[in-house]
Amino acid sequence: MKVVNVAIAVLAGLIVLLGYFFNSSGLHELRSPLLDWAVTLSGIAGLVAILNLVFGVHLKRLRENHPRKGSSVVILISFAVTLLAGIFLGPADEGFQKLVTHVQVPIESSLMAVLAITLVFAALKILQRHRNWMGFVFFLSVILFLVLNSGVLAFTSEVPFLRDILSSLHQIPVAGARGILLGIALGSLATGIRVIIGSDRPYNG
Amino acid sequence: MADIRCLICNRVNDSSAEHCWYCHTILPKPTGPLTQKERDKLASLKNKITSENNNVPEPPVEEPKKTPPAGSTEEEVPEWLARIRRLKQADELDQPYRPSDWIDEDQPDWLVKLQQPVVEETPETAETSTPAGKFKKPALDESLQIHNLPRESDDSEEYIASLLNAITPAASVDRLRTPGGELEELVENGWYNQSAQIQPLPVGSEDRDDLESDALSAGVEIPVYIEEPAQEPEPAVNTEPAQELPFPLFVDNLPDWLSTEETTKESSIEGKLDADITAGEISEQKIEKGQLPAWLQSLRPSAARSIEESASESTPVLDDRGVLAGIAGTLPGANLSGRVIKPVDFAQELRATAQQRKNADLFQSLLQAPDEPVVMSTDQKTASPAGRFVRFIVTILVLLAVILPILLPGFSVIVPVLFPTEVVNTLGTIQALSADKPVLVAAHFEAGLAGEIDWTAQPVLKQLVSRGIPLALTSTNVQGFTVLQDMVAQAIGNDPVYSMDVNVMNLGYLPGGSIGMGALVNDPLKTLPFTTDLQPVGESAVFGTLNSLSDLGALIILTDNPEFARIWVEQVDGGNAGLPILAVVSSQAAPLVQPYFASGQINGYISGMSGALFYEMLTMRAGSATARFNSYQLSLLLVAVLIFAGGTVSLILASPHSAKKKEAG
Repeated sequence: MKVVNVAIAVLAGLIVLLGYFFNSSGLHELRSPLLDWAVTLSGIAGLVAILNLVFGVHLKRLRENHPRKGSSVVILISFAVTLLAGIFLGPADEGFQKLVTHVQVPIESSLMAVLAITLVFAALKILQRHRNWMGFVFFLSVILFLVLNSGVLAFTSEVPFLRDILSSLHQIPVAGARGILLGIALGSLATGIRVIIGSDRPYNG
Repeated sequence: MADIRCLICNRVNDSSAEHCWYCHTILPKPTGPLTQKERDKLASLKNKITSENNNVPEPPVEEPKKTPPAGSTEEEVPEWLARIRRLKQADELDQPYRPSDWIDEDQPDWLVKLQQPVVEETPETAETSTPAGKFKKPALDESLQIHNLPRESDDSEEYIASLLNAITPAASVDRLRTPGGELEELVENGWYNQSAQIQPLPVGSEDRDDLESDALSAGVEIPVYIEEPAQEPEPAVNTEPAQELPFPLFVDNLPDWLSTEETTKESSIEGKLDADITAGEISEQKIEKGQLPAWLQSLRPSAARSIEESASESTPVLDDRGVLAGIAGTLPGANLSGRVIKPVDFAQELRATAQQRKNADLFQSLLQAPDEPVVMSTDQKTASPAGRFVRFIVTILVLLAVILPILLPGFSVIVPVLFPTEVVNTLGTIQALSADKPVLVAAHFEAGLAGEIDWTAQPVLKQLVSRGIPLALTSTNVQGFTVLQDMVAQAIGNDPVYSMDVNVMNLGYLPGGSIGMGALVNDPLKTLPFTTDLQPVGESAVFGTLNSLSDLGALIILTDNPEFARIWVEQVDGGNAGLPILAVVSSQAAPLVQPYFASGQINGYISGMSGALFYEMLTMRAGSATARFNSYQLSLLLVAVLIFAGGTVSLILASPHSAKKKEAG
């Protein structure tokens, strides 16, 4: 059975990959249904995950009188309201969209704020944990670019020498970004090859 | 015609041949008539030999030819016998290279038998036994008759010539001393006689001089045929047996009285033999070297090589295998056993260089499944009270830095004066857009960064709305299209001309990632045929003519993930060159998008709060960025100060000196 799974995955991957490089009508006819099936399967997989979360985790907590069953009750009510609003109002409804954005955006934004505080606190102790030259470089780089991006050095635009130096410093992140992009490309390539040749089998569970 | 024996390979060749048929060596030419000088030399040699052997005063050179020496002993011995003795004695002297031990060690039976009776029967010397000579004369005649040699009554010239021709090198004697008595068979079959008639003289001028001197010493006048032997070569018949006729054959058939004389002279002859061997070898070497042709000398790497070595090298070669097996004289094939070139042994294993192995290992590591993620231990110590206090102080300071500029209207900040190029290009691109062509706004961002993206994108959306450009919205993630529609609604605000229902079309979620993007680039209506409220896109008055992305005025990417910006750039740039691409990204994605702007794949981009501020300053429309930039700037400065102070304190507290103190305490 595993062989069949691998064969299907490899064949589908090759068809989609060839359609990515060659603009052929035949490949397009094969690729579009595969893409639709993938979207449908991903939606069903999300539904399965939601059902498992509702019935397998939180309802189980209510039945077993779990100490944290209060949070489970909130989650189940929020899920039911959102599901019913989406079914009856539709995803394009403005009320439904405000319901989503006014819940999800503040939550995720608060998480980002906590992340910012955590990063600042971690930066305070960077030299306490990494007392080497790389730690010093990171420490000075963080301070330097925070100051540069704040815009407080705008007066240096009147000084030619400092202006050139700051302009060159702004190019340093670009150089690092190019290296990151190359790494991302290589990683994506390796991942794709692993899936196509059957070395990596995420569909086996 | 007489044959000529090659000096190198010792083979017999025709007298007319100039080169040896076997080894191609130049054959010796037939000698010409004797000159006066040679005659004088022969005479001197004759006198010398006569004086040494017979202890007789050397007669004058002119006399021996005509008048035989007078004496009692000489008178008793017949003249013809004296000549035979002298010739035989001279022949023995002409064989200096005969080894001395040949007589002692390898004496054949017939020779031993010959010597013993002679010693017993003739104790006296041959010279003093005149009756015995008479008595033995019939025996000599018999022996000569057996060998079919001419006798005394024959012509003297032919008789002497037969004797001279019967003389062969001692080496030939060994070949004839066969145990089966082949010698007698040869004699009886007349081989000896034939060879005596055709035997050539494989000697040089010096040898011939010796013979001639013997003849002169014996009082025999040198016949004409001896003086000119090569003028009329005799026909060659059975040359091989003739060459091998030995001198001992002559000795074997000598009469007893002659054998006795041999024993008496044996000691004196052998005494001279050793001395003559050296001289003979030297003369022979000189002869052989002189007869070597120039081309052969040039071929010889070393001139010091002896004749024996040359003879050994010229030994006929017999192949023991192959089609020429057993055939003498054939050139052997080259021994190719050492020249065999073995084919390269290609093993079944793959041979790779170190660099190739390194690359293979790297590729294998890439293909291997990723390691299992390391699960962090939950047994970590909780923060200390001092740590908690520091965290609390940091949180309070950051919140104050964000809130105070908002609450205090008079709080001023340092405004940048230099506008980035990417922002200026973005403004110019949007101003150049046509109001008839819709602009596709593609979003991909998380809800947590929606605030930053919203503040950054608002100046751009407001300008598009102000210009009345239709907008098509899509998103490659689930939350994106919902947040994006809310952003556009905020940008429209209360604009009476621009309507959300007329000028904006939400195409919803675009699945498939890069594949979906590629399909959208190739066929937009087929990829996204319906809006989020399930209205067909083709029926729209504005978007119904949207057959490809080239019908769009521009593509604006809203993302906090540079990966999706890259995918959009790759898809659109490959399929629809010339479509303006703009990007609105968060600050964290700006460095990764900047290379695409530097390469010209993106016409411009706005990143973060500072980018939005620049855009608002350029459009001279104060917005959310202008209102919140003071908080942003103050927060960044505060964070920088906190990190610097905290790092310095950590550096001091965690110094090795303080650590030692802590351990000691």
